[in-house]
Amino acid sequence: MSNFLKEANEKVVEKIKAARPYLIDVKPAAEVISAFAGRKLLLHAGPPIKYEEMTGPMRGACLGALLFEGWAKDEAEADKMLKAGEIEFAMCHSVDAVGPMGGITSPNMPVLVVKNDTDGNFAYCNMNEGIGKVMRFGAYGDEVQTRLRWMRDTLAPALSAALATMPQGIDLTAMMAQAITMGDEFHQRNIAASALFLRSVAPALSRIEISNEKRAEVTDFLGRTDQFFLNIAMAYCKAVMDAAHSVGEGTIVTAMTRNGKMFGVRVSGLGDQWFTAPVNTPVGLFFTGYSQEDANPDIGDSAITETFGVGAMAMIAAPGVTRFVGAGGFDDALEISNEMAEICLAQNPALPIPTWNFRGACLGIDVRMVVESGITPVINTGIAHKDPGVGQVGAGTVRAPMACFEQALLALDKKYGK
Amino acid sequence: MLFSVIKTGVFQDSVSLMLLTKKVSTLPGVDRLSVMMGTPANKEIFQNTGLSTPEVEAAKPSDLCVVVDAASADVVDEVMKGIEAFLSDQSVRRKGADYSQTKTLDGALSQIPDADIALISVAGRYAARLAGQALDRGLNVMMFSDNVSTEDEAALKKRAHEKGLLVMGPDCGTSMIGGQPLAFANVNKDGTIGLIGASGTGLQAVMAGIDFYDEGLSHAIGLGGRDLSSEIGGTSALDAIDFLARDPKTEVIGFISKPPAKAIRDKIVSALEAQPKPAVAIFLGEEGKADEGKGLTFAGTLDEAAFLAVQALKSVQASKCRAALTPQQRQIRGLYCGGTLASEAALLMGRGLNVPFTGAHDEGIMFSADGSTVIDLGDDVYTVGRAHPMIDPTLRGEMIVEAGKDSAVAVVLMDVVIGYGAHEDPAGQAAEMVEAARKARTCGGDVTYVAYVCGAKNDPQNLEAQKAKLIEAGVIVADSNREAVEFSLSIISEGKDLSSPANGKEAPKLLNHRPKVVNLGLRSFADDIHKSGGEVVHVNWAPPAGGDETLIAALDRLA
Repeated sequence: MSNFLKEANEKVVEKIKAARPYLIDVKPAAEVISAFAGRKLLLHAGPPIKYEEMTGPMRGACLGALLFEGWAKDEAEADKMLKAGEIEFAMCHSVDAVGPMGGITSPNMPVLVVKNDTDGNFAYCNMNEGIGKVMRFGAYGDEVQTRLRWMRDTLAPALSAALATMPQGIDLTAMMAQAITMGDEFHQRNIAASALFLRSVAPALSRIEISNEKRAEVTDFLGRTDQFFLNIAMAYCKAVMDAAHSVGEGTIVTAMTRNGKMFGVRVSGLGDQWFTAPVNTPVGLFFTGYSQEDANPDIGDSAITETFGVGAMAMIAAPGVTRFVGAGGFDDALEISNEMAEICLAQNPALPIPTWNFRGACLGIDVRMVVESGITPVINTGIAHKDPGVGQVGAGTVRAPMACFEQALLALDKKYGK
Repeated sequence: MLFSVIKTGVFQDSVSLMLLTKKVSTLPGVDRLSVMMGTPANKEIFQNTGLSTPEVEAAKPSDLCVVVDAASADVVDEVMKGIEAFLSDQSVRRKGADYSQTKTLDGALSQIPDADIALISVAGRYAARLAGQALDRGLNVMMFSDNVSTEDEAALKKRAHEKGLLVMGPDCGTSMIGGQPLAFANVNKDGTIGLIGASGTGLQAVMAGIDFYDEGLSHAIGLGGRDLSSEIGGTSALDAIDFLARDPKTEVIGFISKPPAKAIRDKIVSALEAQPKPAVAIFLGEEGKADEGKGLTFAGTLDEAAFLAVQALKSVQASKCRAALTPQQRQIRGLYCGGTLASEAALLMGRGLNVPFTGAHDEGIMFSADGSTVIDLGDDVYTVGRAHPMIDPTLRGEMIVEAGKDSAVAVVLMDVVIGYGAHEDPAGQAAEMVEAARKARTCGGDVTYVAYVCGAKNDPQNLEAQKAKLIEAGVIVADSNREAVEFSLSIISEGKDLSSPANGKEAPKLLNHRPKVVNLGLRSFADDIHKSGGEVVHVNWAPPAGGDETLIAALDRLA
């Protein structure tokens, strides 16, 4: 068995190493995700969940999405519709998509379109709204609605037009390889990649047919939205890990995701099964006026970055944010990345980390190594307020629950064990 | 009343926890207290001592279980404060360590990919599995852990044998490989005696004994107490003999054992006799027995084993000197400063060469036969117009050079007398002359220089420093005049050729350098390896899969 699994895992690792996702377009979700057709559907982060079971941030985002889509005229009506089951739900992961925090994505929200040239598969993610009162953290007021409409009506068409002038789109692998040497780990810190992104679309933006005022708005937004690249990185990681998952064999984790209640893990050799267990609550630093008491349990599809081997797995790459995410400094960041390397099968030659003596970022979390060692993946994360409508209150780290990996191991044993 | 607190995910080794228990037990109000990991074996101890609680029963092997027998719950808070302080102190000390640390064997191997030995001191029930993993990764294994089943031990040793690796232990407390002390080991001088021990303190006693004679070790390989049982069949012992026989550095092999199974003993004896290096064996309970021509001597006691090993080393040394002679080199030149020492040398030479002792000393020549001579340079003929050679060794020095150039001379034998009154650095002068003699020699063959330093430890010239100067110059320093003469005689007499001891087979990789170690279990072993100047990565080991047997079985099926 060991040889079969070894070879299978090598294939999975090769898929990850060979993947070459490009950002090619920005489109309304319903135009690229067929599941939206003919029904009132919302995508959400994490394993399947009912509206009643959702935690505050996801519920708030649902209300926001119904208002944005015009399905409800106010919060009360939206809540009633949701409770009445008039709105269908599907997990982002089930439709080649990912979404940060609540992950709520409705048909008219624009999504980033990423295509993996190697396997031809696509991945989608909505766009980053910036900081403050934002829908992904459960805020849904006027400020949020105004921004969402602007993103739909101005930002998305501008980016779509700009990308259309670039023959292949944007080579994200090259951009991330550059950004990781500039101190990004692509979950908590994306400043460098976001700047590189703007640098690369700016010439195209300057040439498209658009009012100067709108052009200024778009460049201004991209210039100050430090985490804009996070959502691009998520779509990138999703595209890579879906290609890896298509191998259909092996013991490598191909997705980790959370819905605020349950943490879900998908494994290369175990098809569409999700192995779930209750999420942990992130621990970290809080904005003035908030504390650990206010923290919502772990939520979001953004752990796809750690699944791919960046985010907290590559904590050592981003000394600038180690304090912010609660780690005690550079030595702790080093310890975290070294520890994460102990549950991974390989290292990514495309993402060498200077502060790690140019070791490549972690690659290929092996379920067996997680269970054997007792080391669960660490995830960098923003912390949402547990109540709907408040938004982000801090940032920190959280561990994936071991029970997911234990269940996956037993399923692997059933399939592969003698 | 019993109170229990379970802390998850803080695995600590049993030694640390025993220290901790001792410390917090002294807190006021604590009647009884126990702090252990929630392993099945420990749960039994909790039950047997009447300290089990439902919480403890439900705990996992990776959970830290604290049970306090106290009159009030307030005491528990104090106990937990003490435990937290201890744990955070452990964590500070962990972070302050000067060597790399990981949580897994593979993590450690990514830090030192060329590691040689896994030193395993984890709980016995997990030790065999870990040892198997280490062997799979090409590591030799030293298992300090005990409570490993005989079946597991036999299987591990068989696997190691097939891979050309060595398993020392289980229950192996002492080893020293290539200058690297492992677990309980003494700091021996570097040397050429290789020891194998199926007994921890037996091995240590012989190590110490050899040090007493100022000789050094190449390696000391522990086997664990059960290796020579009929169930195990001496697999590691035989492999260790083979390793030392192939090791070019080792010149003498010492084998130390408690009473072994008869059949295994005979196998060991055959193996020691079959290999080309002189060997000494002690099987406790047996009488000593001289070498019957097979190169193996038996010692009856540990100190005798050390002594015999050192004697065997001397015979190797003499053999090497013999091998460097031309057929013309047949003579000993004894150049003495001390009259009585010269006289004793003459007496012993006479005995050795079957020439009657006459007591003659014409012209200071105390002995002369077959071209070999002993000259007393303190005799009146040599002190006319010059100081006694103990004060001014110039003349003796010139004679050393003359003798060293002589194509018929095999050995230059000398005394070096120190103390008040004597030259301030006679050994330094003699060493200088030996070097000059070597340079001046134009004919073939090597001359052996043998010296006896006559002095006391507190002499102003410093006995040890004087000896060291001679050794540095390649002079063989004997512990007595007798020994110096006998050694010289052995060089010009016939003897077994022990000069090229390695048996021509490929040298074992484990023994040809100072090994790098992955330490799994007790942190103090890593501290000591680091302190001794060795390279080590410490694995902060915890039971696999939190100790869950079902998961471990699944992991093994998927390995």
